[in-house]
Order: sequence, then structure tokens, then C-alpha cells
Amino acid sequence: MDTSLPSGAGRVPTADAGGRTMPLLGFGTHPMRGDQATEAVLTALSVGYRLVDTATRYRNEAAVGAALAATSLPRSELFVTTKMPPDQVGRERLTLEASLAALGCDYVDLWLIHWPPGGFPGVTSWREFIRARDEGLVRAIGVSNYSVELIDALHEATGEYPAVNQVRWGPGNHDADFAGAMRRRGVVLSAHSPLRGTDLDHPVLADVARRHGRSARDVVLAWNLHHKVAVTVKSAHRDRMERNLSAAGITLTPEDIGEINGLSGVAAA
Amino acid sequence: MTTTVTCQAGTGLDRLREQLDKAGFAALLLTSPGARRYALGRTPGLADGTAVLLTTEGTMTSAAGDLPTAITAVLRAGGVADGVVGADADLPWEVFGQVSEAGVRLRPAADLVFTELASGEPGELPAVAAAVDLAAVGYTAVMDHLRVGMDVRELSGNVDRSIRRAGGLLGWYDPCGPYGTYNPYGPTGRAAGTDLVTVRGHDPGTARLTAGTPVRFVLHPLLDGVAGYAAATAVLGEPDGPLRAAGAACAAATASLLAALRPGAPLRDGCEAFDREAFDREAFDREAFGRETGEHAAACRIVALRGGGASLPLPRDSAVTAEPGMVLGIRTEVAVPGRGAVELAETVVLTDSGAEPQARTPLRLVELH
Repeated sequence: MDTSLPSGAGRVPTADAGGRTMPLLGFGTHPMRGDQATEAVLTALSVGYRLVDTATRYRNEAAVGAALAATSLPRSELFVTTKMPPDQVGRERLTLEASLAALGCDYVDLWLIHWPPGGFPGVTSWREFIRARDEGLVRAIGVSNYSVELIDALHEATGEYPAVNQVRWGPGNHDADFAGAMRRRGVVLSAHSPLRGTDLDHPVLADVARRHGRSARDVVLAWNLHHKVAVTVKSAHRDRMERNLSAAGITLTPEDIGEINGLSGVAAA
Repeated sequence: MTTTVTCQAGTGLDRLREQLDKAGFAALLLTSPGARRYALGRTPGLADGTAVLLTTEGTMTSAAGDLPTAITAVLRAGGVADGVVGADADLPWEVFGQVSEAGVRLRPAADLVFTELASGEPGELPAVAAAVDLAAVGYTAVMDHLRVGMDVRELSGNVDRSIRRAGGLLGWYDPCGPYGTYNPYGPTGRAAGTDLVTVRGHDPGTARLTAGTPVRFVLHPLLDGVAGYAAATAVLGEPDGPLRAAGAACAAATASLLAALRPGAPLRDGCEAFDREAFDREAFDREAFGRETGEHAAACRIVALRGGGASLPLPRDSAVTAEPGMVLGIRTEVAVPGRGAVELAETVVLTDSGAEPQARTPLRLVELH
């Protein structure tokens, strides 16, 4: 039996995030810090990841920046995402400048509002995000943990939809209506914590995994990619990084997809 | 009859015993919760009491019951009936009456105790960093989810889940008590919370957060016996003039406090710097906004954090000097008349270059809108 993993590095699907090509499978860095974060990012890049996801809140931007400085990959081949925490309302530019300095970058590819500030849309911040993008400090702008209503509020106030909305997303909380709403607005749906909230021991996942000779974890990643949902995965271990990346090589059947969609607690409600 | 329990003091108290000896004390009487917790944590097997006595000879005695009786009992059991004994806290006059009849001379030892509880060993700093990280985790769990109408019980549940998931254990309840009793101008809001977070600023009738009222939350997780210490204040919506001014005053005065914590300088300089900045701001705000907050609208305190919790605040007349390696909690507050206060807190480690904030929560009023 061939136990080698199919390489997914060369075939990670991409999406158009506000005019910037965004890999749909990225490397998440939370909660790693310091040398561990630097080493992990370097390993991830060597394995084939090209999207690195960090945030001001993670306190590891400098460590990620050290990896970006050390890699031989050109900056243009990398996609760097960072996020502004909600407590920085009114200090957006300062926050971005601090991120750029820590990352050692002239720009980031994607800058997100990490959480709706106080549950509000954050229009003040969004205007600053648009300004930063127009000035070239960021290539694309987006949000995280936003509802459809909040996204519409941003659009109503500024005429601009976010390029990306990163939310907690997986088979357990798959919501076709929400995904459709994002798609209609041209917003790339991005999943953080894709494995949390999903019962990886569920018989349906186990069955699909068995049919493909892979793990339930791999199947969840492949299911997200099938739905054109970006996923960030994190591991400090090279073998797990490779395994996660190889999920891009899994082709699920329509039956597989239907079965996994059926796991959603949202759909069942 | 009060029962006393005596045992050998732990080796972790050797440094403190040496300091007692140098100061000419035969023993140290500990009655504040923070100091008792510190000493008992280094002496396994001894139960807490109302009063704890550590002698220079190396015994520890604990007694429960009302304070004067417990103190008399530990002094008798500790065999220091005619010695000079240091006390970590101000004691009621009846205590002095009782102990002086026995020939004991009580002397203030607040500075000695504060120095001990603040002066960390280099090997302790990673544990401090880890505990403060937990406070930062709790901060995130609050700040990211705040919204108008939120039930504070949901908020404290978020903190509990996040901190426990990150490895935190049971902490201690807010040492300020339900009404922020260190505040000289009285109650500033009912508190709600758990053993990990205390929240003020919600509507006490509904337990929900409202727009325009500052939400204060104090985080106090405990990790391996080390306390994290941080507090922040946010407002849901754009603050009006007086609230924004209070936030600016608290931020500026807190920054002044931190800047004054320089090695070799008295720690009380930090409080004095805070007072000066807050007073100047208050005078300006009264002029600009017509605020009538009284002359004690701002308050600050510096606490030591070794031993799993906050010590008694540094006395205003303290002579303790800042030394590299000290681990301190700073807590500041500026009142917003009728709407509570802006309150900030941070854990700092003193280095050769000054105070280094550890939790790095915003030392300003956070605006969420």
C-alpha cells in the first residue's frame, strides 16, 4: 500500500480577494510566539504554504516577520494576513504601522477587523481601512467574525464590501444561507478553527475518510476547499503541515459533500 | 479559647526572616490576606487563620477567631511576649491595648513586608509572564465580545472558558470588594463576576451592558500560585466629553505613574506623579466641561503580587524604593460622576530601564463603535 501523501502544495486553490489572488489553504500562527513561531512559519513555507495568517492580538508579528525575512521566497509570492483588534478603534493607522514594522513588510496582503468593535459595524475603522488600501499599505481589506447585517452596514456607509470575512466555520456550523450571502456580495468566506466545533469522530466523517483513505481532519479541510472557503490551519509539526496541505489533493464526491453538509447543526435547526 | 497551630517555617521564608532580624524584630505579625497567603504558601501544612506569626527563629503560628484574640494567641504561642514585633497592617487600637499589657511592642513593618512580596527571584519571572498572559487571554475574551445588551454573566462565562482552556485555575475574588472600597469617594458601581473576572458598569437591574456607561473589568487569574493582574475600561459607543476627559486623565496619570517607577526612586513617587497629573487634568476638565468631581476624583495604588494575590497597597508614606526584579500591580481610577469610573490596571516588572508592562492591555479608555 502506498502510504505517501499526495502533494497538495502545487494545487492549492485560490480566490480573488479584492483583486488579490489569495490561497485558500493558509498557515495560521496562533498561539505560537517567538522562535517557535518563526521556525513554524519557515517550515510551513518550505512545505508549500504561501498564506501566513497572524494578528496584532497574537503578539507574534515580529516572529512571523523574522521568518519572512529569513525565507528565500520573494515577497510577491507570499500572502500575509494580519488583523486589527477591536480595541484599536481610532488608532487604526498606528496599529497598521506597528504591524508593518513588526512584520518587516511594506504592505500586507490582507488586513482584517478582528472582531466587530462593541458589536457595531466599525464604520470609523472601515473608512481608515479603505484609506490604507488606497494608499497601498494593504492590498485587500476585510473583516472577521461579522454577520451579514454588519457587513451590509459597512457597505451602506462606504459603498465597499469587505473582500474577506473570516469566521469560525466547519461542518458543525455550516450555514448555506450565510455562505450564499457572502458569495452574492463577493466576500470570500474564510474559516478559522475549521476543526473546532466539529465532531471528528462522527460516523459520517469517518466513513468519508475511510473511503478516501484519509483522516476525518483531512476531509474537513477538503470539504472547505470544495465550498471555496479559505481555511487556516496551524501546527508546529512538519508532518502535520504536510498532511494538512495535502488535503488540497482530495476530491470529494457530490455524495460526500452532501453527507458532510448534513452534519450542520445550523441546517438542522 | 483560641486554638493555635505552630510549625517550622518553610525555607522560602528565609530571606524574610533575615530581613526581620536586620530590622531588630523578634517576629512578624501578618494579618492582611495577601501577606498571610504568601507566608502560608511557603509553609506547607499550616492552615490559614486571622493572624499568623513568623519568628526570626523559624516558627510559624496561626490562630483563627476575632482579630485581637487571635493576635494575642499567636504572640503568646510564638514566645515573643516581651519582644519587638513587626506588623504588616494597621491594627485596631484594642490590639495595642491587649499586646502592650503582655509586654509586646508592635511596630509598623508594612515596608518590610511589601518589599518581600514585591521582590521576585529571577527564576519566578517566567511564571509571572505566564500568569499575566492568562490575564491577557481574559481581556481578549471580554473585549472581543462586548456589545450593548450583553448579559455580564455571559461575559464572565466567556472569560472562564478562555482562561481555563488556556490552563488557568481558580483565582481569588476581587480584593477591592463589591464596591471598590479603596475608592475614597465611595461606591462606583455594583460588581459582578467570577473568580477570574470582576465586572462593573452594567445595569444592576438587568445585568446587561448599556451604551455610554463605562464597562470596567478586572482580571485575576491564578496559574501555579502566581497571579495575573490587569484591568481595562471600555465604552460601547462614542464617549461624551466628560467620559472622554476622564479616560484621557486616567491614561495620562497612569503613564506618569509608570514613568516614575525608576530604579532607586521611592515607589511612592509613582503615586505622587499620578496625583499631580490627575489633579492638573481635573483642573483643566473642570474648566472645560464644568465637571464637579471633588478633589479626590482620582485614585491609584501600587500592590505587590507575589504569593498568589495582591498585597495591601503601598502606604503613601512608604520608603520602599524601586529595584529591578520587583513585580508590581498598578491600579488607577478616575471617576465619572454618576456613571462609575475609568479604571485601569497592569502588572509591571521593574528593570534597569523602568517599569515594563506585562499584560499590555490598553492603559486608556477603549472606545468601541
